[in-house]
Amino acid sequence: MSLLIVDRLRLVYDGPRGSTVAVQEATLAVGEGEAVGLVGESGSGKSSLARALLGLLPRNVGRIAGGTISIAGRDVTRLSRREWEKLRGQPMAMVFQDPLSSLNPVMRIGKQIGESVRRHDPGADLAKRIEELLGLVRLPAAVAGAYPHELSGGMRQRALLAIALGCRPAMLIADEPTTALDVTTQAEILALLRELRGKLGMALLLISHDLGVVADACDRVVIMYSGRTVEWGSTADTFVRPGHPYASALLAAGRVMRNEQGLFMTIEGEVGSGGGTGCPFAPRCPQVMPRCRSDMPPAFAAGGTGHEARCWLLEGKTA
Amino acid sequence: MSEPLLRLSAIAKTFHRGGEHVRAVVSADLHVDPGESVALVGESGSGKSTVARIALGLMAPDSGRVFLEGRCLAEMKPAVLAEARVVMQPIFQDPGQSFNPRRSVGEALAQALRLAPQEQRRARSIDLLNRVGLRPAETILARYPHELSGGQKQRLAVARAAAISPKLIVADEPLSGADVSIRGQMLNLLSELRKDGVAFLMITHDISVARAFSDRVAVMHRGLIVESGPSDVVLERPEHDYTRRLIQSVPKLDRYMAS
Repeated sequence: MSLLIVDRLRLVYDGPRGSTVAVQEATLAVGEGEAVGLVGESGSGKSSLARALLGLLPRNVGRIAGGTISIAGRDVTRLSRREWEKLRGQPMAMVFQDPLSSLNPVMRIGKQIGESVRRHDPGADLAKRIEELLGLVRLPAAVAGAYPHELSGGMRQRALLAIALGCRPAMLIADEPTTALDVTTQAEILALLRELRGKLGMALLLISHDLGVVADACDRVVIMYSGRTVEWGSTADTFVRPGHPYASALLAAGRVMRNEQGLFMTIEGEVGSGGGTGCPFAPRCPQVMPRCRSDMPPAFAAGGTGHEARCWLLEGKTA
Repeated sequence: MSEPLLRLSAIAKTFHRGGEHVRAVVSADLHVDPGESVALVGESGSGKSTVARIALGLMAPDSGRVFLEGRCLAEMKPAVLAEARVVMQPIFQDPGQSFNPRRSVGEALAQALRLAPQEQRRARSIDLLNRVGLRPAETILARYPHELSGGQKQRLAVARAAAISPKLIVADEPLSGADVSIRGQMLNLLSELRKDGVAFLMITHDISVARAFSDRVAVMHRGLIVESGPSDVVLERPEHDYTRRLIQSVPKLDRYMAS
């Protein structure tokens, strides 16, 4: 069963000068115990989508303008803030890019972990559970007595993970969890995430701009461009034989490859507003066809099982 | 042997904050030959940005000397130093913060071109904007930094650095805020400058950028350069434990390479 299903979700921000569409149409699913990577560049809408999945769209500004979100079989699209409160932590917990701004600066780490334990495990032996959670994220027990500013960036991210795990989540949403960290620390956190998934059977939705991080941590991948999910499939299928020209170009650029002329692979132009009726990538696409500019392609099979991409080039191809 | 364009000899720098002493650079030797591209690779706190600031003459080392074309920066008179430093241009990480928000693009470039004859400045600005792909250049000239996207600001930073045909560009993490899809555009722009003979000291935490863009690599860790040499040697057959750990930590996209 899918823990999370997002179906044709549309997100809009209302401002004094009219509305902005942050997410045009996003569709994705995360099954129990599965690790899915949501990849996109700035302006792709991935962070807005992540906020919506936790009921954290900015109040009176962000709203769901279409589509549905369901969590563990329940439609949560129209929940009130109070009802969302009850869902946070269990079944879904979240860690963010900057652990320092997510941690309470004047509360010891142990107490912050304790709060999340108390909320979801009222009968638990608090001290024992805190020690257990610190052990799980490989922090020494003494960290319970420390304040956030006394810890390094990597330790803070571990502490944040311990707080999230205190809720015994069936799924963890991690928004750029290693972006602020050095590569050697990032490698440690990614190894920890892998270990925790193995031990706890927890599902993971990892949101990242870094293809390498997603390749390292995820079984499946969903690629967003300009507010739309444009390709999804197993990480192996998608990264080896991408179906969408945007995905191909992104992978080439991510590997810092040069073309035959010795030039670095890149995608000309910049992410557009995604307006209009056609494919949002059409203005930058090296293989653009006339219909791409007028009609948004549906999802076509792109090769592997469950591997699909929204690109007219795949129409009629049976891979 | 001819004198390198830039030479840092046994530089050291300690910061004092409150009662704490942070030895940002314990001791570093580094040189960049004319037309050469050198990457200084390290993680946060390694001291690499301090080395960049010292190289640019924006900060004096506690000990050690900086030579630009064979002349020691510390021994130059201020007026001579200002002139000498023109051969060396910086590009910083956050292009948004390195532009005066109250100056238009045209004014920023005119300032960079202040040594050129006044009547040539506009034409040269337009030429520079075209070279970095900021088009239509005439329109862009009248814009203000906040009206440009992040990628456009990065291009503008390259245009400004290239304005007075420098011999050396010291770039401190010039790509780290850039999206993957436009990182290649920036690397291509910088490669154009290399073809014109500009030397680079590229400060980066990104090993793939160092590998792609530099002839030589120096790896910095805790204030020391722990390993240096030709890029392919250092990055393919690292000798120092830290260099090895750094390289192994980079998530590998290559295991999903199409065969």
